[in-house]
Amino acid sequence: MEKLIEVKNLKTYFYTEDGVVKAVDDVSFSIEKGKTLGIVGESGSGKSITSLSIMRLVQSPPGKIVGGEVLFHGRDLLKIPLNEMREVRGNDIAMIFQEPMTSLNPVFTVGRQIAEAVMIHQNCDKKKAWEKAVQMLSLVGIPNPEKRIKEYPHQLSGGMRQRVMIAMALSCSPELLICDEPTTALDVTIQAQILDLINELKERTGAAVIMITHALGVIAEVADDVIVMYCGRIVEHADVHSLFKEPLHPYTQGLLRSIPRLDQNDEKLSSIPGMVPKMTQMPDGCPFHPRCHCALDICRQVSPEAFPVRGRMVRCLKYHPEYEQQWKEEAAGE
Amino acid sequence: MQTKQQKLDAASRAAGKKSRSYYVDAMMRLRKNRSAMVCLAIIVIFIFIALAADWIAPYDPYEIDLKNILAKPSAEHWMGTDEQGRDIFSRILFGTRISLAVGLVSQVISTALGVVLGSIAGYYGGKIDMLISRMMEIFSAFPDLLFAIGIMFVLGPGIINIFIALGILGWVGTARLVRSQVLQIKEMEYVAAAKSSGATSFWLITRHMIPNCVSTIIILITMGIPGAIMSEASLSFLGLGVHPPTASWGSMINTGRIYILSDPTYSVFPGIAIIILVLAFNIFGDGLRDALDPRLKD
Repeated sequence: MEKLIEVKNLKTYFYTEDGVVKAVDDVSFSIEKGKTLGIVGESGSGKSITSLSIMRLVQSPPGKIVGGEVLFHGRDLLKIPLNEMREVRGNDIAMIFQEPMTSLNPVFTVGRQIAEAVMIHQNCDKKKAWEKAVQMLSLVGIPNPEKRIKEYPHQLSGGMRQRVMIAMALSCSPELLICDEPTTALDVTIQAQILDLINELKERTGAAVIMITHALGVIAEVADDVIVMYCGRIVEHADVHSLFKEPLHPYTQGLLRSIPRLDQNDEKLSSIPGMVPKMTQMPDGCPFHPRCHCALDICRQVSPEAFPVRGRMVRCLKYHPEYEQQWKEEAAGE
Repeated sequence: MQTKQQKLDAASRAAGKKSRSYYVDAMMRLRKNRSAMVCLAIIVIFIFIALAADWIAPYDPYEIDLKNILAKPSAEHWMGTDEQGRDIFSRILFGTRISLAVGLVSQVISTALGVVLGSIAGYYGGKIDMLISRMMEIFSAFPDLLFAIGIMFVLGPGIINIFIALGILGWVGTARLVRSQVLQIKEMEYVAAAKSSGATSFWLITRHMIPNCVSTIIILITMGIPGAIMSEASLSFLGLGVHPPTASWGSMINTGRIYILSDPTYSVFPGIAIIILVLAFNIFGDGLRDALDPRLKD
């Protein structure tokens, strides 16, 4: 399959008063046409900044993309001039945001907002754009689109607004859709509807999707491949089945364990102890070692690189061929 | 069994009237505010007077009648005559033109300057913001009237120069407010969403930032008009305003000042006119603010 987008060694740093924050540190992945890539991680793990970096929308200053490549159809998006990048935004790559309550402009009707998104990219008159907007609204399953289109965002429910956002994002038929926690602010039944909708539209348009979320349930539902991020780095990259079946990285294991289960009898939910370290005060060695249940001395000293293990990429010394033996010995000794 | 359409209609009825825009809502709130409506009526009357002064004024405001100078108010001359026998009532009616024109035009100039510079400063930030913000500080460091006097001194008297002077004077406040609003709106997700769909900076400023500041801008304009009217009166009073034969409330008070002991009504009537018009704009502006931004009330 042809690779639609290939991110290579992406590095986005924030230069703050407290020091350099490596929000995205050496992230690489690629997506094929029509596939969905899930990015999971706790708050502040760099998932959103990764997607914003692809769009080149990182606030600068303080943020800066310091290295790497984002190849879209073989063209490096980080190097093209800004006006060409604007052509890409919306047209080739579109984005859906987390907060449906604030991602629509309150002073315009939803129809006008969709029509304007169409007019930015496709040289068409107002009437055509308006027709397109009606068509998009009915595509995303909004009943009575001719009427709804004249309404203001505050007159719509959260789920409706998210549908409008999706309609807006898809109005120029992008090849890649980045969804930044599209269901986090919605209630559960609406979440499922929105995910179904995204899946259905993906099948219909053949677009690739990057689904950013902290909910593993969402990932299980929609993703083909999954990236688990921690402190700006990819700690595990696997296909969705093997990830859920056998998580390798201790962090992934912790995440999966912390999903509440129906057949769980314990009173307490399991959680990963500790907190995400402050990005300006990263611990030496593996950034996850202070919270890792199987951390050894070596983890405090050596920061692991990502390397292939059983057909996926993992960033944990536990699986590193060089240290594997040491691990077994120490584990046996304990 | 209800049809789907009926259900939808019922739902939209429950949620208030269908598709009522923010401004329609605001107008409804404004209509309930009685004092604001009375003031609006007064403003409308003044606008009518300004437009129709040629027809409603009983005398020509420039007609000199030396037999009849400094007459007391009478049935013939309702507010008396001035030192050249001109009818004061007619002159006040014509003076409305100057006051309203100064109020509106200087506000248009200062609002245009303020909105453009304020939104640029807020949107781009960094060095541009630095430059514009320092400029605003320099401008606001001068006392308003003194600054206006300075500009008028350089430009010379005349109505056009008053527009310019008061326009330059007023932009700072508008620019400050617009800048702070733009800073706030910049963080909104719909701006990020528009950016991610390929909007240019110009598009973002004109389609997202400024429309969201409109209610603030409207309030600033209505609140700024009385200030400009007062400033014009002050400048004319100081002899730096409009050219002498032109009827202006401020210059009338200035000449009336000489006769204040013998003929107090001469300067009192234009003073009353200023008070009524300025008060009407102020109270209407307050009402408008309450209507456009209910959170600010009280």
